Amino acid sequence: MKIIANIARFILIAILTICIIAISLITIVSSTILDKNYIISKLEETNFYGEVYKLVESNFENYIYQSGLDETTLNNICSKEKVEQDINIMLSNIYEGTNKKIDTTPIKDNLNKNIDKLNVRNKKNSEAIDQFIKHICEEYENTLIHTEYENKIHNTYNKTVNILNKVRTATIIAICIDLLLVLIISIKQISKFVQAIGISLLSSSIFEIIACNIVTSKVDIAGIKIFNDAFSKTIVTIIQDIISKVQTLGTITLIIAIMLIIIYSIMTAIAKNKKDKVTKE
Amino acid sequence: MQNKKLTQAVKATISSIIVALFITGALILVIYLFLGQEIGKVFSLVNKVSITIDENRTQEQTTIGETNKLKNYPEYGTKYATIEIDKIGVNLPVYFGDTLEVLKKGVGHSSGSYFPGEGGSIVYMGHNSKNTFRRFSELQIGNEIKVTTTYGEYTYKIYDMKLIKETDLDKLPIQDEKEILMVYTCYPFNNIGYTTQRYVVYAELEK
Repeated sequence: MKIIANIARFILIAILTICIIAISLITIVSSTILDKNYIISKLEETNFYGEVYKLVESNFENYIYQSGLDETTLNNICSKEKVEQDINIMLSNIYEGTNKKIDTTPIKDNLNKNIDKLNVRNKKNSEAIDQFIKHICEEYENTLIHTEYENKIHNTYNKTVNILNKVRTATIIAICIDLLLVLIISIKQISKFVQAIGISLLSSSIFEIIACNIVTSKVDIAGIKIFNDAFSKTIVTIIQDIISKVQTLGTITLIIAIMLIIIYSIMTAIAKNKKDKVTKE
Repeated sequence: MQNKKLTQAVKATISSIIVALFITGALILVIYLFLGQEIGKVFSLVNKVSITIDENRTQEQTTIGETNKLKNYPEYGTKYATIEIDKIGVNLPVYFGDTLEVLKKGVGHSSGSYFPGEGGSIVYMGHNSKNTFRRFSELQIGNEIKVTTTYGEYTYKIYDMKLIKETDLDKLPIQDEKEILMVYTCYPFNNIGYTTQRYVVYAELEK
């Protein structure tokens, strides 16, 4: 009977470990990449808006060299505020499904004004100038990585959030049932209940710490390059922050687990001594 | 009595830690067995977009061997030559690469083409701005283009000029039988706005 109880306790501890790992990861993912406010805070931390604005200006300059137009054509056609506003529109499209379009009309109008000031437009080159303006506007959207897929990303985001919420609820229920069963098995010896929680927390913390170390040793996170430097910098910061959060959580869990195991050990030692005393008497 | 208590406590602690390590090990093993390949794929995918630049590394000098094969190719985006076209007063740096960032600094070398001295097609490009190739229309058959690289000097003689569509640039003949230098810029030269044609100058190796 004792063997069966021990096997059952072991299985319940293993299930509890898996549930703790799952709930930890779900919580971290939900509070980071799935949270719009977190993303905005990271964009601000990495000066994403400013970096993209610099990129936009630099890419515009590349077009001016081949256009034959004076460099003053690009004066004040776009502002950092406009870039920030448009990036936030894209974020809303992804996280809230607003489905708004980036408005390049102000850029187009400012370009037209500047070109008109130069007084170079005529019947012959009018079409080429319109093409140039069109390319500048397209370049702006490309630099911001504005795509028609934002709507699809939002649908995937919604599905992911729904699945994670369901998994979270199921995990919490599983943890409650698991703890209840462990408590029933350990009803005669409450220290075993403390031990079960301690072991589960210790296993999950070791797992989290090992997983972080594997990821950081196998992948060169700092070297990740996607789309452009500004985007890469933000992605790297977010990944490093998530890993650091998992490591911190793992360390805190490890400390709590060790404390619980020490409490269990003390309880066991005291109980055993009491038992020995009673036997002697 | 105290020692006995301590021994009991240590025993209980160690046994708990062993159980925890066993569970962790088993969990890692199960994940490795069932998801190991997928996780490996994700790691290699991320590593594909991960580029580490060793800032302490120095570029070794580019040299050319007896079989016209370059040793230590220039790094992408770096300057490795100068182009001189006396007829139109051009003396510009040549960079390996064809990004807009490169073209902002000078003349670009298409990464899909050969290097001077290798005996194949070389493709260079530049803007038609005042400081670059605005005066390309003044070039005539027989004019010389001198390319001075870090490993040698090459002089080419112009034998043809053609107008092609912007979309046909990938059709420039890349071959390895004869050393040909193709330099192109946007056309019309004095156009205002976006240009859809390219003016290509063809030159063959003279010395």
